[in-house]
Amino acid sequence: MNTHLPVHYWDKFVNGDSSAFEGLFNGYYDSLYAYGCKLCNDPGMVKDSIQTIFVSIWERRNNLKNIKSPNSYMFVALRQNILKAILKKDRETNLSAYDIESIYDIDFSEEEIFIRNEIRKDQKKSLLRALNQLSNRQKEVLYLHYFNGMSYAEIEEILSINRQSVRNHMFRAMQALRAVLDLDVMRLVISFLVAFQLLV
Amino acid sequence: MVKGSASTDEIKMWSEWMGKSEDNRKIAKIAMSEIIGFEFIGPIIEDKTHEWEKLKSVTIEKKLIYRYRRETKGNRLNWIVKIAAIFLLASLIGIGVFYQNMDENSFPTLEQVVEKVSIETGEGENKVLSFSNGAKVVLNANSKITYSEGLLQDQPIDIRLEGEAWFETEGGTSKNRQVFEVITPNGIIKNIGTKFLVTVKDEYSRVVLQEGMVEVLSIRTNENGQTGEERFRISEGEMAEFNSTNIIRLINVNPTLYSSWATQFVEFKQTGMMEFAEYVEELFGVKVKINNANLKSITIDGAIYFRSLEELVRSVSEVTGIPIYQFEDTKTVYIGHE
Repeated sequence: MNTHLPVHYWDKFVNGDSSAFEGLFNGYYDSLYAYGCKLCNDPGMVKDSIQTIFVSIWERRNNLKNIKSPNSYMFVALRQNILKAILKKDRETNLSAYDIESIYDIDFSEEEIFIRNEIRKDQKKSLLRALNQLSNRQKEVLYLHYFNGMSYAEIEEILSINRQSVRNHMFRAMQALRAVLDLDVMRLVISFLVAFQLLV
Repeated sequence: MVKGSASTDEIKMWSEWMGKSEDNRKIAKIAMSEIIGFEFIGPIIEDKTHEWEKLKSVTIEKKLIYRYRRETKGNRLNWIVKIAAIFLLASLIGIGVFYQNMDENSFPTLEQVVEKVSIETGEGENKVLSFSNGAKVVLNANSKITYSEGLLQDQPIDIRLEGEAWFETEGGTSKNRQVFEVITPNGIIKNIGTKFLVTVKDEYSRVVLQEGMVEVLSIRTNENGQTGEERFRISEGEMAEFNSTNIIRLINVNPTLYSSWATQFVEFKQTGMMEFAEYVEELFGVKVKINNANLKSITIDGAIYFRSLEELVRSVSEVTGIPIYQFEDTKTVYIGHE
């Protein structure tokens, strides 16, 4: 999966090279699609939103030269587009217009996690449980940082929160995950010790 | 999973290094997955080519079709256009000669009387100006606007702004007509059926667009002393900061956090308690203290109409179930029990 963000194509594109548009689309598509699916779990809505933002940047390409962080710009545009689409859908189905918490729910599944040096099968389940217990904001910060490789400055812009809040969310998320993973390792050590004592 | 800790400066340095280049980002992602002991796998993407074809048909290919049509139709229409242009030119010359030969005094002269008006606000003061075309300007504290009075209904209102003002063009005004032309030291802001905020600071001007469309026209002088015009557009939900040489920042924001002093309306979208506290501090000039550290992770969603600090905090307090209070004669708001 290509998550290497194509900033070089952006520079070419905003400087008038239309042929860079395809490179820009191919470079951003996977990351945006993955992030969008995290936000709404509706592939159709994500695809429509990606189309909308690429049509928009095509039409406004002469006005985009001054954008300093294309990554943040693309991710913010997608996020806002999806949130708008969710709210619109909600209004159509007569749900509360501002009940975002119940519909904007980030959830991780077992297929999305790869544990390096996985020792125990249930380690993944514990990690998954810990991940899904985090708040939506913590999950989003974690995902943007670790999956999309976004810096804190970029996350700050994407989520419209200050740098300290990004750090706090990250710190709390890592604390929660560390506790789970450490506990798992501890269990493993104890089971080794028990096995060793039985052998002796 | 690797155990250890990093100082604030180290985290800052690491984060800045990550964002510096795409190669750094790639290396950082590998390193981070080593450190935390796991990594995320993205979803399977099957129809990317189809999505690109779809996008291409409404962008690149649309442009090519347009060019093709223009070239082929051009030959057929060329003669018709040329003949029409000759007739039009001849008519215009005829009209010009006719008016030149007429006695100048046979027409009454109509002069538009335009008067410049200035309005200022002091500390803690807001003023609302309503125009006959339904447009409205709300002037923030310590600000000044100068505009022309007596313009015709359809003419844009030229406003010279110092400080901060909120502009609204609702109330029977055509959505497709320019109503305001806001002049700042850094450029001219033209709107079309919009709600927007303009702030003029010493070093730059800022526009936050809540609805509609805004175009900024900037007169710039290059190193050779040549003067040129530069235009850029701002979309809904964007904030642009610009000076007379450059656009400093163009980002997406929650516009209601900027405009609520004028509209008394704010929409929170996953807003953390810390952000809420900062917002209240800036809007009302008070100190906000969060008594319980656990409350900082709570986020607020929803829209609130308010006329005062009391109304705002009461609404948030009711929604979240967290006590928010202010003692009399103090300028501190407390969130949560001590």
